[in-house]
Amino acid sequence: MSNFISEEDLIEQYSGRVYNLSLKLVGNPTAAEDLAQESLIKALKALGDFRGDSQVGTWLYRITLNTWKNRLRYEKSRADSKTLSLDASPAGASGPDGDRSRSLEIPAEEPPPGKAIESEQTAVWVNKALQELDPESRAIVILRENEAKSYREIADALDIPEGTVKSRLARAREELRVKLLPLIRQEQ
Amino acid sequence: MTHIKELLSPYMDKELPAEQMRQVEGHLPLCRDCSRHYQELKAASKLIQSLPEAALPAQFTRQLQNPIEKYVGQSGWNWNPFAPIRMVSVAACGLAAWAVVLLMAPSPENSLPPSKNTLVVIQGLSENAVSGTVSSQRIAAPKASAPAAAQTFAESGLRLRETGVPMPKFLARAREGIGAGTASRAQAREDAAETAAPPPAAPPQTFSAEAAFNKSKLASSQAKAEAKTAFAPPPSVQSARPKDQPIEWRHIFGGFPEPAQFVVRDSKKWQDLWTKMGNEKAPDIDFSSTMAVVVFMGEKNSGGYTTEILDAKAEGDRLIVRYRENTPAPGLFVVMALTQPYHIKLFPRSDKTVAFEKVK
Repeated sequence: MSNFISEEDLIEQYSGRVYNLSLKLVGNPTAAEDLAQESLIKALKALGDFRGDSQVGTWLYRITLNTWKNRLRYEKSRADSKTLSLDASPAGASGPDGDRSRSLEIPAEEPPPGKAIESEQTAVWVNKALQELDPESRAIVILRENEAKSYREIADALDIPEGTVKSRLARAREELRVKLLPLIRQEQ
Repeated sequence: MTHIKELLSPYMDKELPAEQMRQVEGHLPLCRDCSRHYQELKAASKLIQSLPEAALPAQFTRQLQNPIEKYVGQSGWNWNPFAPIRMVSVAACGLAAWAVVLLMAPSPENSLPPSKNTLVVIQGLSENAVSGTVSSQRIAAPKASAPAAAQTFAESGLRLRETGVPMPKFLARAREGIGAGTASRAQAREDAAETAAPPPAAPPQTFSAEAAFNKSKLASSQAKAEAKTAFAPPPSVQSARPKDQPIEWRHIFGGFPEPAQFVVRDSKKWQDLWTKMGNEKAPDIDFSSTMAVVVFMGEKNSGGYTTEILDAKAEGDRLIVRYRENTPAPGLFVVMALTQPYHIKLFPRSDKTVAFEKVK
């Protein structure tokens, strides 16, 4: 039993956040549910060892991200060719001459020009763009944009150098800019 | 020279050194291209931020608290590379072979709670131990290989994996818990005779995969002793033993859901303890000369956890009880069932204050 938060409080206060993080990481509700539950169970088990040296939220995110990374590693080791590798480095400077055309794919259907986009469709579009990022970049973007974590906090959560966070984030944002250009230009 | 465009992302986050912040700030009003690029980056950023928050799915919390509900019957969850497996045909390791047989043996009192009698396979075996082919016809005859060094189940690296596949009939016939060699068969007969009282139907379950596995260790007195105690009948039917021989009860099911360590020195508390654990009658203990040391590991959401009281040593005016908690090594598969490991051990009575020390 932890002094910092009870099991009940952890479940009540953080299930939603862990689930939402999972949903953005994996892109679909079924896998997100699995990932979130597995992560919360791990957190509950480890609660006795939690010393409060970080925020509960950060600690939970770290567990969620590690659980997710382990799954990716496992899937990779099963030689699933469709799975993006966590360790694969993304293309060099993003741009038309990037050597990973996959990451520069623009969704096939462009939103009809001049028409207002339903917010739901926007969400689908944006989510698709996010899922097309390589896993580590996706995690960095989510932690920065949706969780408002600093570079330092992101580096801690993912166990990578801060410099890597900075450069990966810049590259990922450029990829997203390109993918979301039709949406962006429409709204401008 | 760094292009301004490369600095726009950290600039957006104010994560540039002051000098570079000023540089970008000064440049943007003067450069339409960079300025537009920056606006587009900000817009993309806002779009990501605008992803809606999803509500927790229904049943999420309930399934969290009862993971077995979700996973029993599914052989595919959690990366079971052998799903849907009927049986692992074991080639090289006799130890593993009979252990697989044993674990697949059904019996009402041996069922893994709370699921049905389904196949449980061992995973985490070394390459030579598992042929990797799936065969529903036979178990490979266990080879007489050199026994592995005695080690606890937890240390062995072998794990149970519940497949959710119903038990084939021919395996049901194999339920005897007998080891590969005649030595372990004799041992098992010895144990069976000694613990002839029928196990009760009530929980906590008597099934102990650990005990089953440990029985396989040949020629190791420690293993034999462990096997004896692990296969000791459930608490309410304990046979009498000499007073100076420690008696212990150790299982992975049936302990308290919360971790606890304490000592019992009187019959009332002793009976309370057994009652709480789901038994009618506590074993008869002479508390004038004996006391019981109790360690509960608390409820875990999978197998692979065990706890062990190591020893009790007097130090000054205190009695230090050392115990260990074993956790499953990361990445190994474990039975997906709630477990409540515990260890109860009798010691000569001491009235010193007891302090518990967890060791690695």
